Amino acid sequence: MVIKIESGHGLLYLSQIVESQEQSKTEKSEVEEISKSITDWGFNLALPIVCLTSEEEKYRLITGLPIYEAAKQAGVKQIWVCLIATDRPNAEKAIEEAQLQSSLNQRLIEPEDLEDFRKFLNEAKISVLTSIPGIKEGYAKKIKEQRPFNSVDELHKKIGAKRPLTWLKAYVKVKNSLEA
Amino acid sequence: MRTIAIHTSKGGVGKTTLTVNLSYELAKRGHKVLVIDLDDQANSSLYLGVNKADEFERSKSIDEFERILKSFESRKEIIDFLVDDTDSTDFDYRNYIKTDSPFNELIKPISSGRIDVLPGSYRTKANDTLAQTAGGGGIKQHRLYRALHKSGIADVYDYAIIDTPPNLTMVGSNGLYACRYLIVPTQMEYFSVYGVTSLISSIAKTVQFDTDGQRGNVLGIVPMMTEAKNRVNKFASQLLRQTLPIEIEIFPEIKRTTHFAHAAKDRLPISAFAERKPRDAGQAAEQLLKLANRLIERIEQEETKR
Repeated sequence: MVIKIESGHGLLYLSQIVESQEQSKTEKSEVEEISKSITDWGFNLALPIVCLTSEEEKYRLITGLPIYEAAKQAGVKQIWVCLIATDRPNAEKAIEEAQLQSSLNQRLIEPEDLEDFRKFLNEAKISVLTSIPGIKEGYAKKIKEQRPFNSVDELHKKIGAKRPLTWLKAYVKVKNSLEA
Repeated sequence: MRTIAIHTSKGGVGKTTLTVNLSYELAKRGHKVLVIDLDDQANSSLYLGVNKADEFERSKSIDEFERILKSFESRKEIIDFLVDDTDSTDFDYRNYIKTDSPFNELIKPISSGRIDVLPGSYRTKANDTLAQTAGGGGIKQHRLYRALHKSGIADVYDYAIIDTPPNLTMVGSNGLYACRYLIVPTQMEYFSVYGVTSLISSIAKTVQFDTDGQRGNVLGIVPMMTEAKNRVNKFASQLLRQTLPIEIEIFPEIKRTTHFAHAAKDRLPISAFAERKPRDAGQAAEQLLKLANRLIERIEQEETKR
């Protein structure tokens, strides 16, 4: 009797997962951080991909080794995975698609965050500006010289579009962590 | 191990009565029987005396009742058996099985058979883990079949009698995919004919199709709560006979009587109850015996055919 296995998200026991790579090269401290997060939430937030093996109900881990290691470290029995019901070579396309989706799985910027950020650039002292990761002393001075920024367009014209976006993300992160 | 599921799409037709009494008849014949209670109402577990029936009867308030219910959280039962990691080295099926059914005291003087129970409770319904398992419906539906074989249970017991919930949940499907044989108790009412026919046709399209006929083979239907002079009963019986394929048998009937209810209240199998009150319950016990005999005979025919 052959049981049909379907692709999809779901829970697997860690004992059902086989890994080919011995250990990830991820920093110990990062694995520990993920492990703590899994303990706190009770589940993993990002999904490793697994595919079929020749053995029944055993799956090969093909992405997210540190998450799997962290789950083991956290002492949970099950982990959420994205199961691709095919063998390793055929799962390649899914890996690429998943990686694209993960890289685009970015924080959304609220309009009010954007407005707060513009105000912040207009008003903050240099020492406060540099408290945002990514705003170095040189840029802080440039920001001060180019003031005022009356609109986001003006900000883009004077400083460019790419750097302010990076700073904005860092700014939102700092702001939210302060509010929390 | 012979696996028999008892399934119906309607509640209240005597599914528990059948599960418990057939199990007892099999145990009396010296077989080791495991009752698997997939029904979240867990009436079989209660009847077989492994679900704190005495304590429930003594409880004097809803609070007390709930305290007893809560105590089920700390024991391992069918839902844990379905979702736990059967491949892990510390998995032991004996942790999930209740071996202290008072029915065994009744069996002891008669034979070396016994009834053990893989009990259920309200917890069966409350657990999402099975639904969240990766791999799709096939994997989720085959958990029980797989666990029975991987754990060694299939080598230890002669019979597994599987009581299923009337509304077909994922847990209930596990019962159908785990059983080789299926029997369908039904009342012989006009609407039941429709229910039974559509149930049997849907099992053919799902369980039997998916397993190449290895699982969920409907041996027959058991007419329950019939009345001697009821014309609807006769009509329903004729209608079923002309609709169902010939290999689906209409088993010996169990007539309507209150003695099954009294036996259940005393938590006794009908045959033991009838020994105490032969004049009243003797007929019911005889019907049950006749059914059990025919069922075993039929299974043996099936197995020599193969």
